[in-house]
Amino acid sequence: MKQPLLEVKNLRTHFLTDAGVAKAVDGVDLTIAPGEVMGLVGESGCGKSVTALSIMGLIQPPGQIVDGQILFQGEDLLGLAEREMQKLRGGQIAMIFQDPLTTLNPVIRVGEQITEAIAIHQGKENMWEKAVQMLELVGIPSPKQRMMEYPHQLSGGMRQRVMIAIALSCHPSLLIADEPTTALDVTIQAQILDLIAGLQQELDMGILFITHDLGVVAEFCDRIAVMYAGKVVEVGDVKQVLTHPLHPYTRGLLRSIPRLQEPRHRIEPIEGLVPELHMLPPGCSFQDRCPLADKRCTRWEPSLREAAPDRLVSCLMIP
Amino acid sequence: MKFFFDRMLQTIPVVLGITLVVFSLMHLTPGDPVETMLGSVGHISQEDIDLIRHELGLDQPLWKQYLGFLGGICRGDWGMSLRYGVPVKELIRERLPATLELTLAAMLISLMIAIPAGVISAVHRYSLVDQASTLVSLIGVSLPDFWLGLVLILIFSVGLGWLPGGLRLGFEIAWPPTTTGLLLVDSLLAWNWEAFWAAMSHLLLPALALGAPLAALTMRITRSSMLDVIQQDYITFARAKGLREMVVIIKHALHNALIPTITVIALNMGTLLGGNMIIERIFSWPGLGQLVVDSIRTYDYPVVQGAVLLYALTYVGMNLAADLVYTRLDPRVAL
Repeated sequence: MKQPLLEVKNLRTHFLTDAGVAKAVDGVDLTIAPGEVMGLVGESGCGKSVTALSIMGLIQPPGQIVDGQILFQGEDLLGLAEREMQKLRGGQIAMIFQDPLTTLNPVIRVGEQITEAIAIHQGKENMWEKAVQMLELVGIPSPKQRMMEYPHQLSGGMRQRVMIAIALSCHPSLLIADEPTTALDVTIQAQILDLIAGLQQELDMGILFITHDLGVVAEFCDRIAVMYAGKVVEVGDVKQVLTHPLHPYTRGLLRSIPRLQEPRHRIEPIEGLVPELHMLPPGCSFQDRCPLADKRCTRWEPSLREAAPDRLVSCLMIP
Repeated sequence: MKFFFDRMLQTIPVVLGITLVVFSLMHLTPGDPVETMLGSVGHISQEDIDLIRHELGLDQPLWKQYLGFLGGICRGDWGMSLRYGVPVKELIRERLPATLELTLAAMLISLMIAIPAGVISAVHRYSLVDQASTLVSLIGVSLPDFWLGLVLILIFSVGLGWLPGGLRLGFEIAWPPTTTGLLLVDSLLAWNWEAFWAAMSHLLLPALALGAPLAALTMRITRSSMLDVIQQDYITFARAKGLREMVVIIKHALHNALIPTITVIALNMGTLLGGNMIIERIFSWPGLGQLVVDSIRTYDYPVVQGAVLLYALTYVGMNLAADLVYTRLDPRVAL
């Protein structure tokens, strides 16, 4: 097997709050191959974004990575000095965010926001032309003029394109996309997804695609990792996981989305609430909401293991 | 440009209102300028007093006096001082540079302390530095400036003898030729280092006393708006580009955080001018504030009116300037 592009092993990122230690990410394992699109799904607050920021090395206090390894092309990012991490950030590893309205600096011209990224990683030579090319690449009309404008002069979809242009300006080999389409309306969403998919082919990037929209995952990703309460509970090929989910949480998730093909299908929400991250029960975090749970689940914490070929599941009840 | 024009128009009623209030207050206060003027002369007949009142136009109805005052302003005639018998404009022109120099120095000192302190406090929130500067700024906001002025004199001039406790320049040093009226600038222009350092040492304490409350306030505002800004997505995104932390903080965060700070600074320019009266008195600073206080005591109406009009214009002008700076800092505010 080729060397994975990114390998996250047993990542634990905790927040030391007044209410206690919030274990936002508590033992995440992920592997992304070069050029692969990995979907990371889960409910709000399950630790998807914190996982992303941990990989970027952007966890701010009171957050802290307390354990684990993040191997990027075989090199442990957690061992790097801040200076070395800055070279990777925006260069080899880029990130785009959820809300294009708040992610661009409102008081700095679009052109300056793109060129400053290019200047750091590729030098100042031709940075203006490169930035214009990037804007063209992401499909922004009259890019030269847009370079001189401020973010508030652009529409939401346009701003998302600018953000993508900035992230991709240095041809990263890994792109982390944190819900890049959630804040956009549906037609723009489709355009942006097409754009990312096209650029992914062109630049042969690995993508960690964070979303809570399973439809987007089905359409766009090669593999999927399902997260619950700070842990990855199931990993596998997208089609397999979505058609034959094994983990009770993945099954619950899939039952809770409406389907067009089966008009009489009732939506079944997962009973109960996500547990508070600073008061996780011993044993399996999903025990309170799980239809399969028995006494064992309150005692032992399950870990990811191969339950079928190319399928990892973290559940004691799956044979 | 329309924005600018609208704002200019808005200032007219404000300035008019201020002149009316000042005029009424001065004339409603019990006491009489002529009696004050003649207080030391001894016995004087009522006829003489009436004659002087007539010559000064003080026997006219108040509304006529007010209109006369306004008309004079429009013609560029600010009236004559009752006490000194010289044009008000001249008196003000003589005193204004001293006040301006003090105010600018106070402002400069307070910004030089407050903005870095605010930024560092926000970036290292809850650290020892943050807590220390919070404590110092709380003290700074709570201390009355006259008290601070006196204590500074007590420590640095009386106690340690490091700095002079009053006046703009010692008696032993020759004044540089007046070009701008600002001693620091004039002495630099004349290449007179002796005068420059002397002026600097005289300026330091009063500027510190005047600037301390503003520094404390500006620091608090900078800190809180920085805290707000550094949690924004665009700061995380700036870091995700691989920018150095220094660039993220100064270029991306401070630029946004300064917008509310500018308002506070502009509004406080007025407070600084007002605060001048007390500080100038304490430090025997020959500025406008001292002139105003003396003129109020002696019912020298034209001087008080002229000075207050100038304060009002400055205040309004500073606010206008703040609005203009806004449009430079924040492109979303359209001109």
